[in-house]
Order: sequence, then C-alpha cells, then structure tokens
Amino acid sequence: MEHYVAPDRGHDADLDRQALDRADLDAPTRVLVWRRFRRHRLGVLCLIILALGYAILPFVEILSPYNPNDFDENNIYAPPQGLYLFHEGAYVGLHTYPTATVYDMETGLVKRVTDRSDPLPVPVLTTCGEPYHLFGFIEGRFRVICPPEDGELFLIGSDRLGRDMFSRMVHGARLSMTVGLIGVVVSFTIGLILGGLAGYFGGWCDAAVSRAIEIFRSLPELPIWLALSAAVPVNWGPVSVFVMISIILGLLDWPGLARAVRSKFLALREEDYVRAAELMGAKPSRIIWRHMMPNFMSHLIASASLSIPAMILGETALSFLGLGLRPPAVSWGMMLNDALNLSAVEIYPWLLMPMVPVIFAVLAFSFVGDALRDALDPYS
Amino acid sequence: MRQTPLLKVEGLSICFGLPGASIEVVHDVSFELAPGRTLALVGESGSGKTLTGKAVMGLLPRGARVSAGRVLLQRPDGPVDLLRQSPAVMRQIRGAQVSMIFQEPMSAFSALHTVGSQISEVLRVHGMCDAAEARKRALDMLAEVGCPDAARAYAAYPFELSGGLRQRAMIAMAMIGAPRLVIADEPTTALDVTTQAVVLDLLRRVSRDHGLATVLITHDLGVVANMADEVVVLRRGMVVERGEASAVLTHPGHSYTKRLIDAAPRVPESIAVHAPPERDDILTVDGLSKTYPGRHRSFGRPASPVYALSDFSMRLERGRTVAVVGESGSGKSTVAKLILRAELPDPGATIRFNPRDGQPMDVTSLAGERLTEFRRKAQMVFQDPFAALSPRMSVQDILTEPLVIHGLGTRSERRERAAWLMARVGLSPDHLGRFPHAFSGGQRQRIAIARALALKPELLVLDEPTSALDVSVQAEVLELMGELEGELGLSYLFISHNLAVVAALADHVMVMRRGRVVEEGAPDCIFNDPRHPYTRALIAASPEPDMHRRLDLTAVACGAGEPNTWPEPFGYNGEAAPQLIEVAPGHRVRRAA
Repeated sequence: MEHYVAPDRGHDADLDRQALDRADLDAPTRVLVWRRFRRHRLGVLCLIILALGYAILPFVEILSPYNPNDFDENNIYAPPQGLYLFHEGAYVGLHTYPTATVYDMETGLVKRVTDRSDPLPVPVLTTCGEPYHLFGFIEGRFRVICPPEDGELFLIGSDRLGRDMFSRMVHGARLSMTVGLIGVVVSFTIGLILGGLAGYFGGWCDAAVSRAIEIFRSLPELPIWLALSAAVPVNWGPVSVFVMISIILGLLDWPGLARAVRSKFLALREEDYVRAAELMGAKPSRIIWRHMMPNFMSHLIASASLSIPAMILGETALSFLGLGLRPPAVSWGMMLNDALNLSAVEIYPWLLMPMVPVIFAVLAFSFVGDALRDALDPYS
Repeated sequence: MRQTPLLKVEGLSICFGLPGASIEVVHDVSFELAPGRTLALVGESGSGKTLTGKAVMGLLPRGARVSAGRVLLQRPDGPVDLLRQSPAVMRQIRGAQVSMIFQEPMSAFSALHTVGSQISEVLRVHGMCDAAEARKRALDMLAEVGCPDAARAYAAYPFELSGGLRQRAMIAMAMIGAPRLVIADEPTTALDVTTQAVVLDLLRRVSRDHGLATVLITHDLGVVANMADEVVVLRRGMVVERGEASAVLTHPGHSYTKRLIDAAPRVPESIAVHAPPERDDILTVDGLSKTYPGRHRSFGRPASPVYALSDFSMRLERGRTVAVVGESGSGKSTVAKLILRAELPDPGATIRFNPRDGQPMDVTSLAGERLTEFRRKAQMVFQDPFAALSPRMSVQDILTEPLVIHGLGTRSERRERAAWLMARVGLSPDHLGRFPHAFSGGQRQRIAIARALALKPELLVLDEPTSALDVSVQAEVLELMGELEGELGLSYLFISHNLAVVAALADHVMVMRRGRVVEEGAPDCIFNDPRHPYTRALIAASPEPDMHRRLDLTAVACGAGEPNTWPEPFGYNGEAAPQLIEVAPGHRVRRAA
C-alpha cells in the first residue's frame, strides 16, 4: 500500500481543548429530557390530552348539560341521542330529535322511538337547568350545551333513574382522575421515606423494610382493599370517603415504589460523584438532597406516572363492587356499578360507556410514563 | 505482482439520522487488504473506526446508514459488495468467510449456553458438518488457541472462564468456520496488560497459520506496532494517513499521527537518578491490610473472606509522587479507599497524615472536626470522568460545592475561585454555566481535577486518572498534573494499571500483585533494573509504537501467572508470602532470603 497522507491543516491545541465535544447536549438535563420526550409523538399527544383533561376538571359543571344527580323518571334508560346539523338536507343548526317511550305489546319491553320529523334545536353557551355551584360557591346556570327547551338531551343515554350519563361521566372524571393523584402522593411519601432509609442506611434497616415490602406484596390485594374500604364508617360524608379511599389505594401501592427507590439509592450510592461528595466531607443529608435526589427524581416521576393508572383502576374496581365511593358522589366506577346487572347491560349497553374514559385515561398515563422513562437518559 | 485484494473498501461514508438531517460520522474511507495481511484501523474515540468495522460485517447499529461507497469482498466467483447483499446472503458470509472478534467476550457470549456449544454452533448453522464432527473440530480449535484443558473449556459457561480464556474462546469461535477475513474490534482492550500480550501473540500466530487477513480495530499504537502490516489512521471519520505500518510509525507524515505516536506512554530507556530525599513525609502508612468478610448468607456458613490487601507500607514525601501499579485485583484501589478513609482498614494499621501546618493526624481514628479537616486536605480524582460529575449540576455548582460544604468564602469569592480553577486546568471560565454532558472525557477529567483542587488540598489520590481517556488527551492530562504538582506543592498517590503511564510523574513506584507489593523502588530501579519476574512481565508486556521493540513473551510467560508459578526464590503459595528484601538502597523486592 502506498503511503498516503491527508492534507495537514495543523492543529491548535488550545482551541481543541476548549471545543465542546457534544454541542448538541449543551443544555441542562431537564431541557434534554424534554427534547427527548418530544420525539415520542404518542407520549406528547397523551400528555396534552391528560393536561386538557385535568384543566377542565374544575369546570365540569359548565360542560355538562345537567347536574349529575338530576333525575327524570320519564326517561329511564333513555338510549343515546344524536346531535345533528342538517335536517332533510338543509342546515338548521345544532339540533336533536325527540324520542318517545313506546310499550311493545308483543315483547313486553319498553322501546324508545325517535321522531325524525321534528328537529329540536339544541341551545349552546347559554343558561339553563338547575343552578350549580362552581368551586362550591359561585352559583351559575351557564352551560356550554343545554337540553332543548321541551325535550331531553341524553348524549350517551340515561341510567336507571333517568340521570344523564354524559353529565355524570364528566362529573365522575373529577373524582376518578384525582383519586390516582392523591393515592400516588400517599404511596410516594411512604415509598420515598422507607425506600430511602433502606437504600441509604442499609443493614437491619434495609432488611426490615425489604421484608415489609415482601410481606405487603404477598398480601392478596383485592380482599384487603375490600376489608379496608368496608371499614370506612357509613356515616362519613362523600368527601371524607373519597380521601379515605385514595389513602387506602396509596397504602397498598407503596411497596413497589419503595423497592424502586431502594434499588435506585443503592445504585446511586456507588456512583463516583456521590463518593466524591462523601470524600469532600459532605453530610448524608446534603448527599441525599443535592446529589441523589435530583438524579433519581425523574425516575420516580416516571414510575409514579405508571402507577396512577393502577389507582384509577383500583378505584373503579372498588366502586364497581359498591365498596368505594358512595352517592351522592359520582365516579366512573360507581356508574359501572349499574352494569353489575348483566341483563341490564344486554338491553342497555350504554351503561358500559364509563369504561371508555377509564381505558383512555389508563392508556394515556401508560404512554406518558413510557415516553418519560425513555427520555430519562438523554445523554447518548 | 500485486495480489488481488481480499477486501476493498471504497469511499465508505456512514451517517446517523434521517436523510436530509443526518450527521456524517465516517467520510470517504478507503483501504484494501490482501490475503494473509493484517491491517490496523487506528483512531481515538469518535474516529469512526468501529463503525467502519461494523459496516463491513453489515452490523451497523440502528440509526446508522451507509450513504456512499462499496465494500468488496473477493470470493472465488468474483468480488461481491457486502453492502448490497440480502440478509440471507450476509448470514452465509458471516462466520464462514468473514468473522468478528469483539472487545467484551463476556457480552459476546451468551451466558446460558456453554462455550463449546456456541463455538460448534457456527459449524452447524452453516451446515458444514454433523454434531459429532463439530464437537471434535471445536475441541481442536480450543486446544489450538491455547486453552490448557480444551474439554473443560468446551463444557464451561462463559462466566466460568477467566477474561483471557474467554477471549481465547472468542478467537476460537471466530476461527472455527475457517473464514478468510477476521475483524477484531479492540480485542484486548478489556484485558490486563500481561494477558493482552499473550492474546495478541495468539492472534498473530493463528492468523499466520491460517493465512487469515485481519482488520484490527484499536486505539493503541503499541498494539499496531506489534501486529499490523498496514495502518489506516482515522480521525473524526476521515483517513488521516494510510500506509505500511513501518513507514507510518517511523516516518509519520501527518501532524496528528505524530502527536499520537508522541503521546503514547513508553517505558523509559533511562531515568535520571533522584537525589536522596531529606525525609519530610506527608503520608506514612504501615501494616495496612483489608479483609472483606465472606458474604453473609441467610443459612449455612458465610463464604470465605477475601484478602484484598495484605501488609501494605509506604512513605510519601511532601511534593513527590508515589505510583502504585498493578492489574485488576491487585488491591491498588483498596489502598486509595483506605488512605482516604472511604473504608476502615483491618485493626493494627497506621496511616499518619502530616499536613504542612497543624498536628499530624492518625487517619484511621479521625472523627468529627478532625475528619472534616482531613477531608479538606486530601482529595481524590476518579477514573471515569463520566461518572464522577453529577449530570444535574452545572460546572459552576460542581466547582463551588466543596467550598460550600466546608463553608468557605462568600458567594462571589466562590465564583471567583471556580473561574480561577477552570483557567488553571486549561478550560475557559466561559464554560462554567454548562453541564458535564456537553464535554469530552478529557475536559471532564480536567473539571474533576479542578474540583479536587478547590479546597487547596495537600494530598491528591489519583485513581487511574487517565485510563478512560484517549491517548493524546492522556498525555495532556499527565502534563497538567506535572505542572500542578510543582506549582501548588501537591503530593500525589498515583494509582494505575499501566507502568508506562506513571513513568513521567513518579518518584517512587510500587508494583502490586494479589494484594501485595512485589517490588518497589525509584523509577530508575524499577524500569532499568527490575528484579521481580512480575515487574519484568509488566514491562515486557506493555506495547509501544516502535516497530523494533516487540513484546517479549518469554518474560511475560515467566512472571504473569499466579504467585505459585513464579520461579524460585519469588514464588509462594496462598498467604505464605516472603518478606520484602532490600536489594539496593530504596529498592525492595518480595522474595525468599
């Protein structure tokens, strides 16, 4: 092989020494994580959906056409009604059609018949119905969508008391979506403290916590849930019951998180930068808060976002079995409680509609959690 | 007459990312390789040498893509372009015509199958022979690569073999399909230097016996000098220089090649004899041992204890450097941990630290205020600059942190100190607001050194401070350490696995093996007059970019083994080690009297 030498442009040692090796990574970690997260389209979409969902929770009263516990004995098990813009080919604005209850003499069943000839205009952005209390104290009747003047608007049907399923579903979001957050806060606090103690101090402390984790994880979850929620006094108000249920969910969820915290602590303790801080003379509290926390907080957020769906499902399951929240509170699980009756579901399948938001919420949290987990190590 | 090249790479370019928004990491690389020759692809990290090798195998990582060029492999029926073959054809070629030796044999073997079954699998997937024949051929091959007990190695799982044996098995696996081309990607980088020498020799012998062409990917010009016929020097994805190894190494044409050759650490030919010291020791260590108790099990007896360090004594004179050299498992890092009180030694040891002003301290019994004071005066620089800096802290925070911990200075004084430190280690203070991940390994190591200097320490423990760095960067960092030592009156305890690296800095060298010092003395004694077979093996095994200095395998073979294989009067069994005996003033060797 002949001796080939590339054109030599010389070399500036000083410039070389200063040049950034990874100019693309020249930003704080949170910016890098965000950049990496953004690449995950599905995760970003789900994050937006969840953010929107939580943003509207305080304003559910305005969004729903009825109050959640308004009942209408004339419209029991009304099927979903459509919303239309065109009537017989002509634009007449947002409208729906009235339905009438007809008793079928042959089968003995109540049938709903839609009258397609008579469009009922649906008013939007106006006042109607019973007054509500926004944030508990602002009285108002303004709603985004209202039932027609002499008719009903059951977008996804009504239940056995003639309550509007849609309004109840929107209101149910408030409890069902926050139960996970409160539960995670509880499980986070316990998990962080116990896992952190076990991971940092090791020894008998670690042994005790680890055994406790194993015992907790070996308990059959559902019976314990049931027993604990059955122990909530009957005369408690809906809000106290709600907080209690969230705490119960959190109490049973912490072992997983504590185990994650413990193993992360053990791994981080071996990191050179933690050892460097120790050799500089830093106290344990400083090492934990300044060096270890920032480096594993993101992992915790990811695992938390993955355990919120479990809580939402837990609340749904408890309320479905009639042991969770109690009326007059509304949650998705409680609405599904109506679906316990199989023959009712067969005739009125819209009773299962609350499953849709449950599925979407759980999927959205899982996708966000996954995207977050992928984005946690943005240095490569 | 020129031989038809076996492998011809023409204008190879590789990009990362999507078309349009891609970054080219390998640009227009061309070389050819005749049958039976060895070509070295040399470069530092980020030079694209590994990607080039993987492109030939068709094993580019996801996201990487060949944007231009051809890779022609000469087959009996004419040349084929390896970049344009279907996966099925590539599978036929891999293993049978082209095979690969990986850097990390532990991860290149599956832990769930025996080594033998993985080697004979090559023959079976290519349908070359039946199971019984495959087993026989695999056993022959294992014996050929120097496994002392081929049948045992065949039946062993990868984790049961030592690093050197695993790499031999890896070579056997690459050779079993009788390929004509082997791509060896840093085949010895993960190995200790004495094992490296043996494995390099094996590779050379095997490729000569089988008429193999080899593409050797390495960062070490010393390895090149010992192995290669031809060299391609890569830098940032481009060919900087290409030619016969002897021509390139003896008359480098490009300034980058020259720098690489100059930066390679060497065992010095001769060393000036140091003036006898007037003793002002900053650190005195006596009878230091560390035994790790066997792992506690829930049931049954605990495992037997591990003797990490036995009876270690040393003196470090103020303003000087003591180097502790040894391979993995020699106990050298334990020395660092014990001296800095990261761990407590076995009872009976004394570590006296004697600061410039103030009371001498007994490090093993320090507590509270005194321990904090000691922490201020003794600092450490870690091996891996990527792990040593917290990714969540800016350089400014990293450098001011020690001052904050010890409550020194006001906010603005700390900032000034950080800027001064940055400038002192050769980085621009403009970088203070940045985060560690934007910097290269060398820059990070400078930052780590700056952090260690923040408290104005008197003693620095350097635990392999340059072994994670590229060679040219290593030379610069070593130079910086030399400057700092004189300027700031520092004393160093320099821990390294590489004798040649410490040569420039050390005033006293201690060679360790299996938890014991086997030889110690001034560098002139150690390098010019090594007495212990293990020291001789270390010196003989360290490869240098000099075509005329080949590895001396007889010396390596004599000293590299376990203590019980050393010749009289050096050898010993188990814990029955002889004493260190003074053979010349300041030069002590562990041998029977």
